[in-house]
Amino acid sequence: MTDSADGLPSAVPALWDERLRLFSFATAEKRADYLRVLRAFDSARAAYVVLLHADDVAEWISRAEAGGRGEAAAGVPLPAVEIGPLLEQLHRWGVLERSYDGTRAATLAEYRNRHYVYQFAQAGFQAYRAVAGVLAARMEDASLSRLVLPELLADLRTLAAANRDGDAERVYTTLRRLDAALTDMAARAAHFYLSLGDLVRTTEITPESFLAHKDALLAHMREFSMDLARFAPRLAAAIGEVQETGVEELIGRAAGCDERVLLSVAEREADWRSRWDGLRTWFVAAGTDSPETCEADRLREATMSAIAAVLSLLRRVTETRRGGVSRESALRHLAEWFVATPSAGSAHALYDAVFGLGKPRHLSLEHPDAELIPTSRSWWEAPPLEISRTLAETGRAPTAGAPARIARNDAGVRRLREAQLAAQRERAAAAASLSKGNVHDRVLDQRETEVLLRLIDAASTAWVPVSGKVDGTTGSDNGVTLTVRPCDGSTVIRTAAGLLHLNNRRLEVRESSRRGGVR
Amino acid sequence: MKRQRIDALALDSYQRAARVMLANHLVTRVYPDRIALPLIRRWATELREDLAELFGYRLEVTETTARLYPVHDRLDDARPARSVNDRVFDRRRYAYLSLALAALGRAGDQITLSELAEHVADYASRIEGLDLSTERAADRDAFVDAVGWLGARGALTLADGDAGGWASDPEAGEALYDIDRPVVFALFRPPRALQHLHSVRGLLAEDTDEAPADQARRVRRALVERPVVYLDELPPAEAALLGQDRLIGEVEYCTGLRAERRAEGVSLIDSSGRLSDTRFPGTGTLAQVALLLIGEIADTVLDIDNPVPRRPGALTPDDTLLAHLDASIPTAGVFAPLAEELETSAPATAFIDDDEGIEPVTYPFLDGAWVRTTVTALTDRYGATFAAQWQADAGGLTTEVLALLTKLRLIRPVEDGLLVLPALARYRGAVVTVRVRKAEELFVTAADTDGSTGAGGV
Repeated sequence: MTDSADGLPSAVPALWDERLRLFSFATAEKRADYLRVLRAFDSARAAYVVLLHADDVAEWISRAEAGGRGEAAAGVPLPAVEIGPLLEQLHRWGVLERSYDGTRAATLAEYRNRHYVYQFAQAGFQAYRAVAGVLAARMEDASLSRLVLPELLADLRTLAAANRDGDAERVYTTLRRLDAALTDMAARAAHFYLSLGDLVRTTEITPESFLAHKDALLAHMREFSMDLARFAPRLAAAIGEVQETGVEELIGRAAGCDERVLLSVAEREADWRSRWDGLRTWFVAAGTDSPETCEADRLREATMSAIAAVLSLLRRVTETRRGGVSRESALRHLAEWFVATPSAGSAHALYDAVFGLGKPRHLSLEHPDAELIPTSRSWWEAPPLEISRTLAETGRAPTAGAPARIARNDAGVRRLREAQLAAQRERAAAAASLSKGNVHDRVLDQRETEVLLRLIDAASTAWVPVSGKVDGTTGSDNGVTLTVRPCDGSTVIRTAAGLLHLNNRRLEVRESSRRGGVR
Repeated sequence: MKRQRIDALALDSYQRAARVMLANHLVTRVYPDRIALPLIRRWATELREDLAELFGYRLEVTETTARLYPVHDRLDDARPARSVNDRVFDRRRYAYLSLALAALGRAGDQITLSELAEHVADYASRIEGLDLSTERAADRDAFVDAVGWLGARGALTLADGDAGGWASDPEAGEALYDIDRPVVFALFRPPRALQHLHSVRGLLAEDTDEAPADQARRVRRALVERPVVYLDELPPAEAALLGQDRLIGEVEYCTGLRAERRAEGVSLIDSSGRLSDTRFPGTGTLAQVALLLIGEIADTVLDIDNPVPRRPGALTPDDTLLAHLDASIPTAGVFAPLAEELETSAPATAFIDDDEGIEPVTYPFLDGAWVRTTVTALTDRYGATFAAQWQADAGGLTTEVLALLTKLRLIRPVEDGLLVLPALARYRGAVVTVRVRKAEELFVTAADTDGSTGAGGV
């Protein structure tokens, strides 16, 4: 107890700091823009749309402001390009949650742009509501109902009956209950997305964390996929029934009984209309001819993909359970193994054994009359193959057909060839003189420096950054081999071009012709 | 294998499919080319049965991938991974490749290059001796090579951008990839959990199995995987199988290739060069010098006036690779409770006991000095036709040429020289004459550059 008493003064302000940071958007330089963005999220949420792209936000803003509903500092449209950074900043403050968008992108630009979808974080939503509540001084709607689809269905039937009877008060209460139930459902959906995102993002999944979420997830998915599948058509039918009784009257009646007396009747009607539209689009696709899916379908799809995600999660967890081995840990183990192999040859052998992708190897070239040679004859006694002379003399494949035209440019060829050989000769000579004696003990001339730099270049491509694992690396060229060895302190090589300082590395150049005989 | 099942007219197509599968082990919509997958899918049922029956290989064919899981009887250090521009992978590239596969296993449908690099860097930071810093150009190159390897096999498909741009400047360049998850998972599916291994032997087939069917599969595998199978390297039971017409006929029927049978062993000859990772004889300086050297070796060996010494033991297995790999297993990663102590029983000793009375087979021996002199002489004579990089580097050239011949199982290097294996004699006929031209007429030969008195000198 004393511990927590001690911990309190420091721990609580840290939490407070984090919470208070949520309100940064209210005092930032672009606070008006931030508010417009957040209001868009709020109105989308009122229509039961939870996840928004930057593009969607722009759309919601323009929709809200074109509707002339009010107090927004309208006028300048906010393009999606500018919204991106705002969303990022809000995410950084913790107001919005960010998650990956599942749909496939065709281009990088699209991918970056649509990379993330945003939604209110729980605390962020409250922060926004607090700010919006302060700004609008609107009373909070009390949410009493629970998420039960049968109740929704019953309520819809009641609504239809009430509207038919012209019972305004019952229309209003029923509609409010429906609205609240759907708000609740949207909140659950939002929470579902959030916790699933958390779970899939976590890098180290343990059986405990999976089990902690499993029930909630599975219950939720069962609830949605089964109930939605069962009730969606009946709910859609019920909505159709309500619409037959007259939507305008319905909204008029609801608005008439609305207790939010501070709003004008027109505003109340608009509000209820949007809520009814939202409710309708949840269960009924927008238009009969449009291919758009309704929100309920989308949620069911999300649930299906969530099931796949949970199943793959489950596989990972069971793999971990089954002998502390998962595919991922196996691959990390393998990477470590590769790094520890003593030579490139052993790494190749490991690769071949693990991946099993090596091609077979066979000799080619058949005997023209293979059947005539008895199988009991030794290879040394059997007649040899006929090998094309071109292949042996020049290393090039013989060409079929008529001989190609000969390009007579001997002088040019000779000049090029001589230049090539001269350069090669010079490099070989430089390499040979480089390999005589210690490179650290003398001043290297221009050509030797060139060769040394080329060697270092070759060696560095094979250079595994090491902390004592792989001892040194080598590069070879022009018949000499450079070996780079770790050593203490820095070394200096004096060259014609200046000093070359090497940190903790010592170079050694020797002739490599010796290795020729034996492998 | 039921021969009559496949229609004679369709046989060619079936054999083509078998060759594609045996050569690549992985076929995706883009790898090795776009027409391969439909071909494999057409023959999926037959191939699945035949490859399992003949070689013990498992074939899995799905909508978008066909993967053959081979059985390894031995380690091979001569089949490295290569980057898109044919550079051989080093240890760092292998490590990045493993980590990239690990990261892709949990990624969504798409990923950008820099995001993938971030994940890999994160993993790499936890491995001693490994690092991925996007500020170092060499690291970026190595990483892009690994990503390119995945791209070539269809695990990643470039949707936008350019990996090369990122490699040259990560601030300016970027690339977006679509991830093909089935391919990602098909690429890495080792025969046993790696963390359960105390020895790399666990990835290889057990060679103690005495059941005739297993022995026959082992022989067929050797036939289809290795350039030459020598009778002397096989235990007696398997050597007897290698002498059977039926067994060789089955492999010939499946692959459509002809086997060449000789007293010393059998070689499956790939006349198209498609079922092989190297083509020999082939083009290029290394293959050319190898061919020339074979001619010289054969002349020396066949020279009855100066018989070359002979030595035994050319085909005994070499366990240094095994030992190296076992020693480098990162012990921290091994999951001890389930790791099995593999019995390192050595069946080879048993055979030696059996063979004690028999005279060991000997092979002609040539010492290292002879090889070096010969290559130098060949360089003097034919150097003008060599690629420029090899002309001044006779030592490097010798190393590479011997490596090539070793890979093809035509020679076997020993401490102070090499042993000549019989199949080398196939190519002994490469008699080459070069018209002597005057140097000022065409080329300066490499011999002239040494100042020695070369054949073409003036």
